[in-house]
Amino acid sequence: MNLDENSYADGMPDSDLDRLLAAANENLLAHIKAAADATPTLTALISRATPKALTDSDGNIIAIGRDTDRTPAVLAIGIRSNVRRLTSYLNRALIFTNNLNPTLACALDLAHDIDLGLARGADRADNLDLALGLARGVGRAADFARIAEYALDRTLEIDRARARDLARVRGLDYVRVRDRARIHERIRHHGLVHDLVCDLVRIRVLVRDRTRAHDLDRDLDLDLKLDLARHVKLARDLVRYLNLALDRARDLGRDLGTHQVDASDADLSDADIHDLHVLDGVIWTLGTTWPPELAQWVRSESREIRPGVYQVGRGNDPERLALESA
Amino acid sequence: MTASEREPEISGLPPSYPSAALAGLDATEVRTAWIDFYDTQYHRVVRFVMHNGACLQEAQDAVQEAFTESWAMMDSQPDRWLAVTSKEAWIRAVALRRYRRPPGPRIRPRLAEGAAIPDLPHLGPGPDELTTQTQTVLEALRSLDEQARAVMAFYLDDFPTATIADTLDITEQRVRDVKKKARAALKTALAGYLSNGGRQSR
Repeated sequence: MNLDENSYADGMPDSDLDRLLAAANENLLAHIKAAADATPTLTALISRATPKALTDSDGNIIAIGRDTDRTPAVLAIGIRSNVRRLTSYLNRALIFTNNLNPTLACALDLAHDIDLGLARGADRADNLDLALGLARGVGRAADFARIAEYALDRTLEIDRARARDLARVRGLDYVRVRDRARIHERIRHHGLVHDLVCDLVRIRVLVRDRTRAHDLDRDLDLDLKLDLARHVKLARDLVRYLNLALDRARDLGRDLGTHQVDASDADLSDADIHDLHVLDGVIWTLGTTWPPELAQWVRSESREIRPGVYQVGRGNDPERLALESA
Repeated sequence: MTASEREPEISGLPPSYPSAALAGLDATEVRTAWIDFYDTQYHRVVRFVMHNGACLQEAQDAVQEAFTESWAMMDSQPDRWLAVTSKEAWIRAVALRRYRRPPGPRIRPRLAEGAAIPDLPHLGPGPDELTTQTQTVLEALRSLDEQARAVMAFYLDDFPTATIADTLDITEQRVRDVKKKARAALKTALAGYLSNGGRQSR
């Protein structure tokens, strides 16, 4: 099923051209978001002097649903969107938190080297070089931590929206309780990262000021080194927490993926869907109202499974079939 | 030298960044704002470069180079970066220039007019894949001349005529004329597709 057949002997109306361009624009953006991950470039820019290679992350795909007066189908699609976003942002937080460990360990080594240099009466210029390196290392770690914090901020917003949607769909107290617990857990992680960012900024300022003042004739504060050592441990804990949260988000995503969303005759016109993946497998009828910008895409990507009943997308996708048979 | 080959113009300092205050800028805030800018713009700038004829890989390369340039400017000359009034237009202009004139002696081989887009995925049911319609629109855009493609790409990203004129260094009237001509050409190119029931005619 594709576009309506039209004849354009008298020329194409402006509205048809605009509709075509807008649909293609949206589809191309969704394709790029799925195929091109922005995180490695950002990481490479920030960590130019950090030789550590990075792993890839999931695409950064966005879909936000409004949660007022929505039909169950809209809510279900919104939850799917939010879980995808959650996974994506947790992945990003994890990548940047993973970068913290080697950067902080390197900074800690530099701090030790400075102390050793001072104890041996090394040249002041050498110590200043080391201190500048330390300030740069801590600055880079602060950047990593700040991006991780940004990503966790987003997960917090998404979690809240997802908890509201789940409560509305199922109306079960235990769902609310479970999600509230998850939110609180993430808030706690977020608090840890925020403290980390503040501490790193403080350490960077301290090292920079003392370097500027050439005030390196005495040992670096013991507190500073203890802080760095504590942050190495903190970053390691964060990686563990984030891995757990990511596993849970993936489990939920798999769980939601196996549940059929039936949008027959539903009004989806107010659904704010930017990630077309979430419509995968959704069943609909000619009575379903789609957002205008998606209607054409949905029609072209659906197949008729029963007379008057259609299904979007990957009906025969091997991954989906494997999930459903598992 | 044409306008598209030049470094995008950087307008005078906006009122919110008076030069006297620049010395007191908080580098952390500038960097955080840059990261937000990167997050919101990366995929859209890739799309912009693809609207100008690039395949996905070429577009990603050009966009990476453009963001690297902006990062370097933000890092070493934050006052200059903050003085860029329309950063969204600036990053697109730099990415487009990088796509058209990649750095180094290598000249990016140009595709023949109407050539198939090299990295288009096989058509399939996956929602992240390009629909036939999108591929047809991209090919129609590719049939336009370089300036018309740039103007249409800016319009598709909702830039106002004045910003497009400023960025491409042409008059607003010229932007309107190019847009009108480009839309007429697109209508002709796409009418065949639509009257064929949404199937490519070739």
